[in-house]
Amino acid sequence: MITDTFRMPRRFLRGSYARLTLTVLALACGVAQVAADDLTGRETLRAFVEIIDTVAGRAALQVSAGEGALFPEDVAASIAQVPGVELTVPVVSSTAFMADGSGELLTVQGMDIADQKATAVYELRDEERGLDDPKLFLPDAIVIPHAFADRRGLKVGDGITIDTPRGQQHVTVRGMLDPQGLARIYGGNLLLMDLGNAQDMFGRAGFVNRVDVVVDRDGDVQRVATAIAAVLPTGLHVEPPSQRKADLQTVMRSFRILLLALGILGLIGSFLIAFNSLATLFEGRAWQMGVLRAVGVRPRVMWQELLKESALLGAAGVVVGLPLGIGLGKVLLPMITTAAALNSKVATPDAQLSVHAASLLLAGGMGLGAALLAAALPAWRATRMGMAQTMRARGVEQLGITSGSRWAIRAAVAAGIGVTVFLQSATGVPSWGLAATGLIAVGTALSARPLLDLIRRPLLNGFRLLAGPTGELAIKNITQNPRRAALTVAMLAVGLACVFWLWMVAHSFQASVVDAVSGAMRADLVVSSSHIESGFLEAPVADSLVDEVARIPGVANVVGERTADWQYGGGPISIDAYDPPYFVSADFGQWPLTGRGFPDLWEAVARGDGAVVSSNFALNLHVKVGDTITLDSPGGPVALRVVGVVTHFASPRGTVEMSRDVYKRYWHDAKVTRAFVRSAPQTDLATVRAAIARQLGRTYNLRILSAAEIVEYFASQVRRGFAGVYILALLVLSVVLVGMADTLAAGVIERTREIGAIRVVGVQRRYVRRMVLMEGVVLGLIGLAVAAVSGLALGTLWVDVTFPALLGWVLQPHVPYTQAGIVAILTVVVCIVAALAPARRAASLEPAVALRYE
Amino acid sequence: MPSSAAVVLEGVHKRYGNGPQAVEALNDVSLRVDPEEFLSIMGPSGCGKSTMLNLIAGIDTPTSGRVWVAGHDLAQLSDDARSDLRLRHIGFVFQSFNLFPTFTAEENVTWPLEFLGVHWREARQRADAALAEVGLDDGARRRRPAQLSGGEQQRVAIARALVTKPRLLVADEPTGNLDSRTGQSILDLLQVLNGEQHLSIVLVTHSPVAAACGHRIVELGDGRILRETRPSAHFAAGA
Repeated sequence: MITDTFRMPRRFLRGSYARLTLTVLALACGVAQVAADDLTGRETLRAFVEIIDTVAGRAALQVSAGEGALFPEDVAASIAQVPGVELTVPVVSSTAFMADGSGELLTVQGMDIADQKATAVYELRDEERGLDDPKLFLPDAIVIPHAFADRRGLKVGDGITIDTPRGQQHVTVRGMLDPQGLARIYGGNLLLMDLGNAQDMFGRAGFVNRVDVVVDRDGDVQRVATAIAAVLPTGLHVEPPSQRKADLQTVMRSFRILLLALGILGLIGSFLIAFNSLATLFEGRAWQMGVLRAVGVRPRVMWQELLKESALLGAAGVVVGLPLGIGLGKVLLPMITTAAALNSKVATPDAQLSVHAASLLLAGGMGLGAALLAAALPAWRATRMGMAQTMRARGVEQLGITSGSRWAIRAAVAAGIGVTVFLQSATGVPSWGLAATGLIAVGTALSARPLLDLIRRPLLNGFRLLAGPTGELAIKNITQNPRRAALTVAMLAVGLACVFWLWMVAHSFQASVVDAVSGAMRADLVVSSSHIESGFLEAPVADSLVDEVARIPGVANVVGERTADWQYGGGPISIDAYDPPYFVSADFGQWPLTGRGFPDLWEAVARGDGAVVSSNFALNLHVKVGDTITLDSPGGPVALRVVGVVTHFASPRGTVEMSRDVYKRYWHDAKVTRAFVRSAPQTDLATVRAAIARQLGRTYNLRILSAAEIVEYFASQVRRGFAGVYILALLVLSVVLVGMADTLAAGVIERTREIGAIRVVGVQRRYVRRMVLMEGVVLGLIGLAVAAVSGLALGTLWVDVTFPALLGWVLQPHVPYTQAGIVAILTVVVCIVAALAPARRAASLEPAVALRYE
Repeated sequence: MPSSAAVVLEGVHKRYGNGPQAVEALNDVSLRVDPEEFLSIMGPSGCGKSTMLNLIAGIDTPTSGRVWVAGHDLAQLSDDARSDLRLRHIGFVFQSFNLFPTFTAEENVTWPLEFLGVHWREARQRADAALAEVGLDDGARRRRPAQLSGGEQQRVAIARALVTKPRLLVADEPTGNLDSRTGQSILDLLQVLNGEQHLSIVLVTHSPVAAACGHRIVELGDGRILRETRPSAHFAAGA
């Protein structure tokens, strides 16, 4: 019967602690990655959701005309008449920036602060002075949270200068908000002001951009929403704040799938290392298995005892890996929140990693599961051998499953890859992509053994020629234990394929953005606010900027561009509106067309008859050239014929490119995000740039970039979004180092007597050292070759199919040759470093001692 | 069914491999070991004596023929049942001791009891008793095999074989890795165990001196029984 304690496994593991430390470390890295990925995913979602919940306060519904668009304030009065509505709060919500050089982003909330019921919705309170102080209604009055005031050393009565779409404004602190409700979020960077003042400073008198609705306590929210929608003018819509949450949750779910894929690949790498290590361990103890069987232990009982050993290793890996994962999560969290914010075009929330038991259980469970799974086959193998045979065979590779079974498994995995890739393409469901990713990783691991069998002879001949008998011995040592060699190659290949995959996705994204932007943003200068409102988008400024730039000597032509978020088809999209001359003049470039378009498409867009849509708009919303799309604007429905499809990266769901004349007319929005400037012939560009900066820079707080610089700006935003890739690549290479060192060390220990025999024959130490180093390099190079193929397959799958389904972006595949080269060189270096200690050990063995080794 | 015998082999063949390269390790061997008998199986290397021992212990199965141990026809038993038989009724002593290097001497003796479900405290007491029985001093019990002499290691191995109170002890060249003096002490120990504990013993050896410890000697050659003798008769014949 099976023993009921871990005594036997602990006794067997004695004496192997040093060797198994590397295995435990590898498992710990896998656990850490899963833990970090889950913790950061949860915290990022929580941080975004908290902002939405807190901004909404008690309001069960919000009425708006899309992101920031203005509509008449008296809509609130109409809504208040709807049965079931307890309270309506008209709000002007905007952003401003500190004009002290820090560019710190400030969220502006303009509302009737005299209305206590309204301020109670957001738990806004000034315990000391109250929010009914007459000074709060002065034109320059702001109320700020204590947290912001403390950080900046501000007190009531102090003045600050802020940058707004209308230029710099001077405001005075007239009150302080207690740290609760809305005052808690945005890191305390909140400016509360009276509604009238906010309208003057950020919007338009009599207009608001949001009405928050509090529903009666026993009211039916859905029924009230329907009733409100019936009274709203065209272009306005009502939704619960949870809709925004749902949109963000969709994005975050996609991010978590991506992070989960990374975690799974990391764990597969750890599994391979553990499998390799445990297989070697059990092989070396095969004679002990024979003794156990000879004495009378049943095979199944023996198998369970061996699994207990791996459970101990797995538990050790979990104990080390969980704190490591928490630390890794803290490092990764800012990068993940930035990437999510960039993708959703919202401000990066202030997120602090908190530890969730569910994440730790997930990571711990997967780590323990990986360890048990890694031991299952080697343990089964060890218990299946004939007793007499195993008692005689010490340290020689034992029989595994039949060759026929192995090929059957390979065929099944290959078929699985085909099916899941097909299903991903056909259904667009990202989970199929995840399944395909896992299967490709498994397929990579399974391909190592046949590849080694295939190249054995050419390798042997090649190394014999290149490196003489040392090289020949190195290759023979590798192929002497084909299972271990194949597992090492598999571990390397899976780990490095993961790195190649990530880099290909990042590089494809960056290259696709650069390709698109380079084609579309051709201008001598691009002028915009120096502030980033959200994600990567510059804060808008009044379109008077365009006219003022046009008056600068040396400027030949200027067009304004407005990029704004909107809703279409039940979800978020972007509108990219240009002044008509942009479309009909090639001076400023054009977005590259994808596929065919109408012959005079750009003229149609300039006239306001048509629009071009982005390729992801066409894909996600099933729209094609010739279709008509109708956008609900504050000024009424806008029907536009789709005249072409372009590559555009303003929104993951899709972008509509139209004339800014149309946009201004229907959206009542006279702001621009950028102004494109063409200088007059023979004009010195630096002079024009300096003139714009001098005359307009201070008023609008401008950033003036050349075309190349704006392209680099967008590229840098993509790099920001993928900054975590470098950390993960480092983690993967660390795991590779651990795995390689473990394999080579095991190989040297196993061949101690052989090495002794080699030394007795007369081979010098340096040749023994060189032999082991060569083994490490050869395994590394083979692993690299397999990884290159798998990485390309994974990268192509994700760029072409999974990424668009997951996050909406449509990319062109670009292979990161430079980064791949760097990784290849690093891998060889890592393999050499990993081989140094085993090589030194092998070279230092005394022949007589080695020959007596058992 | 030969229920009274400790071991019965009836027309046993054991062949390894197939075709012209097949090796006949045992060829039509029939043998009986009575209860409390000390049987020595002697022969040169490759004569099939270890194969015979493996068949008796149920570690291997005959190509044809029947093997009974403690009244059980091994062919009728499942693999698990044969394992149980070994654990409860057969003690195995190996030539190379086969002690687990990371276990102490005491732990090497307790582990078979743990697989029988004996509580570790009781297992430890029984192991200590078995070690005392084989003459291992107290100080050696906490040491690992690498810290014991060859003779001490073999005593530990014998204690491991005895701790489950088997009816049959099989020993495969137990003195093969020992010097003559130490080997003789082990053989003396086996004789004592046979006499005092009424244990049936099957000893495999290539040494006539070792074989002479038994009540009866069976000589094997080329997989066949060449002759059976008593020790005194064996020496008288000048073997």
